[in-house]
Amino acid sequence: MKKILAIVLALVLVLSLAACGGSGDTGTPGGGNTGDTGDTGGNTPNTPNTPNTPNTPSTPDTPDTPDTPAEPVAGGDKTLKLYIAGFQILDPQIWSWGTHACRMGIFEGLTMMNTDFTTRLAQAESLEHNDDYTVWTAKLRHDLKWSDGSALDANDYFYSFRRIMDPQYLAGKTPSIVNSDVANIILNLSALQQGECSFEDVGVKLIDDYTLEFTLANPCDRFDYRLAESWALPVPQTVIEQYGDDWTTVENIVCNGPFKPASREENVHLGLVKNPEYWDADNVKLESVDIYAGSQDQYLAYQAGDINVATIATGNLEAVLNSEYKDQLQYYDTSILTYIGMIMGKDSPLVEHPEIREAISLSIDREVLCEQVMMGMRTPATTLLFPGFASWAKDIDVIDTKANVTRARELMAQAGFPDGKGLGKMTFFIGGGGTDAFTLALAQMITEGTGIEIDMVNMEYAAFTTERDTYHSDGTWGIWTDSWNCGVPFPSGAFVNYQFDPRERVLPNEGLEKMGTALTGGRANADKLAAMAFCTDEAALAYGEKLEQAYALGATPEAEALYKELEEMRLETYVSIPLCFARTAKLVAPTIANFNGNPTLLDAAPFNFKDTSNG
Amino acid sequence: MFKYFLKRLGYIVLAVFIISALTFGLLQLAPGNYLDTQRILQQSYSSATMSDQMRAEWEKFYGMDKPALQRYADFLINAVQLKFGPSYQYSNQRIEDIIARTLPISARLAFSAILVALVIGIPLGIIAAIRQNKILDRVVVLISMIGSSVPAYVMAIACTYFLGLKLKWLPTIGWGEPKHYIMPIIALSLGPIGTVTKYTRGTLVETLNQEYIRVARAKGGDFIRVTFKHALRNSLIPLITVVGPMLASLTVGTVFVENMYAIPGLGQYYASAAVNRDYPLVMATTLIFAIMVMGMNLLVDMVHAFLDPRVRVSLTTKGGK
Repeated sequence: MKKILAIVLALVLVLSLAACGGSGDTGTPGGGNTGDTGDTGGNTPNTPNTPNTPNTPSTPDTPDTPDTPAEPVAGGDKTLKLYIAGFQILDPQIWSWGTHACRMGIFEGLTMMNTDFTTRLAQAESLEHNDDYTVWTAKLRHDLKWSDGSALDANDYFYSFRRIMDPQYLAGKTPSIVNSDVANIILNLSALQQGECSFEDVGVKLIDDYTLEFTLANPCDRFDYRLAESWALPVPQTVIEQYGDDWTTVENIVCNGPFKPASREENVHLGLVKNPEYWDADNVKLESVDIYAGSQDQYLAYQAGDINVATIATGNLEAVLNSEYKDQLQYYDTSILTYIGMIMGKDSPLVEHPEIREAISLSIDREVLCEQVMMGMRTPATTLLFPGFASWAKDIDVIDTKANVTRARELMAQAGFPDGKGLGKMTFFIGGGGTDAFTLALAQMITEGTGIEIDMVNMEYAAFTTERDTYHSDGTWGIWTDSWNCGVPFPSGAFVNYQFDPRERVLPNEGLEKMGTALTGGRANADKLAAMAFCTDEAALAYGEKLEQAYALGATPEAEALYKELEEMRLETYVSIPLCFARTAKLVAPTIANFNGNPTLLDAAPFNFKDTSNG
Repeated sequence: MFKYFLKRLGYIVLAVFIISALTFGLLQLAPGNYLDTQRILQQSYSSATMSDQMRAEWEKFYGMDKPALQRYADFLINAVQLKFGPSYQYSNQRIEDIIARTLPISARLAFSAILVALVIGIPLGIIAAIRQNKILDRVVVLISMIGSSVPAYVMAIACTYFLGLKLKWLPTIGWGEPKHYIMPIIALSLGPIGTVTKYTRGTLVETLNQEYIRVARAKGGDFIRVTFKHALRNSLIPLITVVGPMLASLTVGTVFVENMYAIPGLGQYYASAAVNRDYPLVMATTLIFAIMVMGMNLLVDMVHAFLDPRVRVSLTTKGGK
């Protein structure tokens, strides 16, 4: 009997271990350093070929933390190990977090962005433009190769541009070009996407095997930046045609950046190794990059040495500041804005009485919210445009970081609702996380400042995304908070597609009803514009007129002057009220140099991997 | 028996149909949709600037331009052929491929946790039963109670802290190698260990008090031999009725642990699909889970009936005729 029992137990143990057997490809082919060196220079009029300047995290509001990263110490294993939000689809032309991973180092475009949002030449050896910035000519390097060793030239780029611009190629997928304002910039691109012309009519021309020409609908002095965006990364035609959607698997993928995928566990880990065919491989300092995805505690993983860059959650910040790691903490500002928007409610007092909107804004002490409630993990926002995207944004003086309760009370009385009396309860929609300290403090400030009683409604986020943009005919009126991020680091990007346009919410009931349908039903831009036509509010209408003037000027310095006026105008309507910008705290191992957080990405994910070193 | 089996199979098909209709209906009624979620959640203006033409192509691709009833009919027809189409979130992946890749991971995890539970729980249950009402029994009962009470995610945190951070024996992140399975399996198996221990102890104590066991002992039978040869064999058969559903529920219920360890199992995809309103993926995974739970119950009943003639008679007289 003992023998039988022993055999049974042994068998169970063996089966258990067998069941734990590995399933993934963990092989990491070595990345030799055999790439061509080639010419690394370039002549780019108007495009500063600046050296990559390390991102200097802004001064944290917490004690004893260095303002700038210290010099790296010796050591390091030439590997970068970090989390990013995801890498679902490694096709740079299909929108997902994988698009950003592609741009960080798997694919490379004609230009590459620096940490100050200037650019440097990458796959192009020159990029020139005419006097009025309407025609740009890119000449490619002659030593470019795909990671499989095959030649890469302008024909590859031309195919790639056709694939991402012509809707028939990526039907059913969200092309990454929607993440750029380039559709309004390149000649006839918008018309192509509306099915009104063919690709041949678009301002992208193949001149010869090494030359591409871009004709723009309006002048754009920063088209070099647009060429550094994800949509402009090349994709390999032969591989795509051979494997279809499977072309991005580790076995099939062919890329042209400094790194290439070597191993992958779906939704968990993406292993990159140095690409020996990359034209500038000699200047790539890391041998490999391990990217992880997931919601695990990064601080634990950092302490265990499993990663060497960790994003620190607010809940862990105090522990980090009291630990041996506090000197490794770096802060990065991001352009992710938290703001207040208006519920589209029938007969909403917020539409009728702009004074109430202003009183709400004046009730909020943004400094207390950011520094005390959020422990310095947010920075007060006084504009809807991230100040890092426009030097003039800090000069705008419409909204103060401190509260002015006295003035808020005056405005409420002026509106006919002293101390909020006679208004009834105001609804406050929250999309998840409604009991967090930030939202509760915000609600309390508004009630104390205006006297308005608040009825908080916390919804699952997917329900919230519809409710916040639905027309409520049942008497519901009030506000909501949400976050928004501008992916194009220029004023033109922050005003694209009527973002924060006061005409969207200051409408009579009929207009609001149509807007609700446009936003949550058909969602066609034409419907949105038709709803805006109902607007009778003078300030909102004046904003609309000036916005059209700015659009007509394209992305130019002249337009930028108008954008400053527009920013002031939309802030003065208090239809969208800025609260704060998110800030990210990261632990970066002392052996790592030139790790640069991109403020336009969630958690300030890196600009690129190429510039970073670790030993 | 075969007739009974066919009848149960028929019930499963009917239940799957009803579940699919209910799920589809509820998803239609649920507020929010994928496009709105993406428009705002991804914190960019991606969908907001998607041209009307692109959006139309997108909706056509996913059949969102068709009436709801037709979409449901299309879903059923395709589901019978195990074709669920592309996911909204992972637009370059077909759902059947996602399931084929992720379900084995969740199942392997659940299977391993059950095996560990059996390896540890059965001996503990035997020890407790043999030493009934003694100090050893009380200790085992206490351990099994703790095991049943501590949620898997609490155990997961404890494992990460002690085994990953303090002792540095195991990696805190990553997936794909046997070492990555150890902490999730420990976390997942604790509850089943408690259940198996309690069940084994209970049935064995009951069997040891049966008359035929007393007779065997009275005839001079060796205690160990009587316990293991006669009592244990009869006691363990009912355990099948516990282990089967436990395996199914662990396979579909590992979401917390999968999230904590970033395990690319089906549970993680299911949770993310629901949050992001990835309806095709929600529909497909719901059906797969339902089939698994019902299929496992049927399998358990059949095996139980095969091993125990009394159950076989009971099924064929009550349920089979």
